[in-house]
Amino acid sequence: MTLGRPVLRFAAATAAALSVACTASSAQAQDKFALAMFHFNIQYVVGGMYGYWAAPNPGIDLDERQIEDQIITESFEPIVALFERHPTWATNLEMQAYMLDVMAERHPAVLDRVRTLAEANRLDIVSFHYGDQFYIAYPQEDWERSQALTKATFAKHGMPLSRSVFCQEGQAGVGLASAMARTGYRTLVWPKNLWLEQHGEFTTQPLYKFGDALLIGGSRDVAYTQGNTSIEVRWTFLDDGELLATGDMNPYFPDLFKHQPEVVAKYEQQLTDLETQGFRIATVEQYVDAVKDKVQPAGVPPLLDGTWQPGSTSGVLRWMGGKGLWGKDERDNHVRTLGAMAHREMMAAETIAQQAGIDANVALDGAWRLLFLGQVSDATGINPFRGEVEYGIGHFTEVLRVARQVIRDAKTAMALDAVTIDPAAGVTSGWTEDAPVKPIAAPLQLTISAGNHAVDQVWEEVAPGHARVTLHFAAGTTPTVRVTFPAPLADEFSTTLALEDGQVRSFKRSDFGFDDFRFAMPVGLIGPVPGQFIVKDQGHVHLAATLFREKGDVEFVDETVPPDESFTWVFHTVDGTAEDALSIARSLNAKRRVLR
Amino acid sequence: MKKLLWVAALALVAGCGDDEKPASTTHVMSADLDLEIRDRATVTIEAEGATTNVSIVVSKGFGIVPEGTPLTGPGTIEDFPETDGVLYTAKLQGAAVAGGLCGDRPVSIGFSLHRDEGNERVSGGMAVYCGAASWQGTPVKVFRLAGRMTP
Repeated sequence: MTLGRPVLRFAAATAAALSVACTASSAQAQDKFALAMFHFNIQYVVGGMYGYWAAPNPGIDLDERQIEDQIITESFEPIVALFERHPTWATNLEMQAYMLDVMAERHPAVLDRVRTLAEANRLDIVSFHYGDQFYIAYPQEDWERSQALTKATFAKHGMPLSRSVFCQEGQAGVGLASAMARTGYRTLVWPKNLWLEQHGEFTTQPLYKFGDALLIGGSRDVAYTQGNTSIEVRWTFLDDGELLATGDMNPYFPDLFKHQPEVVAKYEQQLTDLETQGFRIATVEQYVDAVKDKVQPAGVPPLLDGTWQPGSTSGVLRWMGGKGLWGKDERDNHVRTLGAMAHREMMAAETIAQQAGIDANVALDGAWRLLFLGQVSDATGINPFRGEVEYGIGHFTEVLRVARQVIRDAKTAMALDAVTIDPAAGVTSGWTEDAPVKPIAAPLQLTISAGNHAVDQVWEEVAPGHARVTLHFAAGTTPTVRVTFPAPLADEFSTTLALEDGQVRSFKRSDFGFDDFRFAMPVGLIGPVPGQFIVKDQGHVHLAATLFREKGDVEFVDETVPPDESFTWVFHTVDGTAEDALSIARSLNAKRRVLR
Repeated sequence: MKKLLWVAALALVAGCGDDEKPASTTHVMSADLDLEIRDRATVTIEAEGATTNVSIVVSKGFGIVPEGTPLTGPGTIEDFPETDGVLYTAKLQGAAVAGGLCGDRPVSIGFSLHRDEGNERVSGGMAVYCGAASWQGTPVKVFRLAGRMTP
């Protein structure tokens, strides 16, 4: 006898409900939880392995789809199967929403099984972005669109979306709090090393207040006792999900990246033992539901944006100027600046399409999606090979192509030739000139290390208190270029954080334990001392800024400068209020006025 | 490794009575670019006045685009005054590839290349969309292109 799918689903859901009820009952007495966060990335080898090796090798030259398929079949499905076998267990599987699209297209049976478990609260599918994009380095608007597509994608596939948040590269920041609350998320899993990097060792609390949301320490066991309340948390896994079922092998080795049942069995035994010891194998949300009324959420210290392994990646530097194993093929600044240009072009295209009244939704929606895929972190780090670098570039130039087509169509509809498009103010005919700038003597003595790249430095006054420096580097062969802005050492510094473009946050060096820290600066702004700000023009330079504990200087470095190409970095300096600087930063990088 | 061609043809039509035409310049850029790193795409961009045409021949079609035959279509050359860059684009069309990702449908290919400053280096891609005259939406593949092409 074969049960139909709806009957199976009902049976599974009923069994799960009963088991959860029983488990919850025992959990109330014991409050012991075993948590995990399987971080899956269907873009692990973005663009595929073809071209990784110079010599053809059919066993290794897998294209993008084949690598994606292998991630599903060798590493993802075995984890799904593991949790299918244990109706009393639940866990978190994190992925970009694009992975759902891949499963729907080529692995619908796996998607059905995931949905069944998710509907029964046995899997919680965590997703905060459509592509595995390095969103902390881009204006908020890009994430807003990406999250909207994520929600739509989950709805399209009938998949419940978790209220927990964990991200590609463990990206996290306090600006997420309001964005999470506004979009229906509740609990951020903060990567432990991003906390340790900033504040050193700490005793992990069961739950933290995180603005209008909540936070727990990722991969940090908890042993909490207060009066009659006792809470114990054991993390059993927080890592690339691809690694568990394959015995720590990754998809860059497709001939070795295979499901190893024995290592899954070992993990299964670990969870079985924990369950025997009274631990509930639970999702983050089940854990939070169970403890939120028993503990007063603790406060969080000041926290800066970053990623999950700052010690080995020098914070965000590895994605924004730092070189990896294949450094000669990396082009961090090229990729990230092109991403910034694509963002600007999309904002301009939307603005003029709306004003022209043309229907460009299909074109723009498709281009936004490509932007999210192109912003993938793996195009610039940790160890991107040439194919991954060019994946980012190819996606961004296609975004630019589509956006330019929309702009041309809109201009035709408006019977205009040259237009000024200002996403903050609309479209006007012709070019509205900026106020004339005037050359000035350098107000700051930059320290520039550029090897055999001849450097031309030009300073201009844009407005009183607002200067622009253009650094043109002639072609050379030195791969590392470094520019340091001098600043006096002050305790207070400021920057903008991911997903809150509208405000500048101030911090004190003395509140942190780091010797140096790298900032992604999503709209390009950093203030090393009160009243002084540096703003990147992200179409020219989109590198990490390094701030130091014991000196006031701000440093930008690119270790991935391509040989034999000229390039230009443009920065603005602002002596004024944070509001002044933020206005300039947003006009440059979030809503750029362009002539088209 | 990479073939570089730089052909600038200047066609001047001198004053010839009633058939006088304004001077016209045809600028042709052509290069063999790396396609998916290991293969080749011979890209030719021909611009005359406001008209640009692009032709691409790929050494390998990966079961998606026809190989060895020119993919042609109208293009554009547009600048980015705020970053001193150039974007070359085109809408190309290709015949259906039997057994390919687009089945029996022809393919529409969005071609795009970016050049920063006056560098010879260009990079971009070919986004392949299934169906005729359909250069938007969700491509089935974005091929990667990179190499040197004299401006």
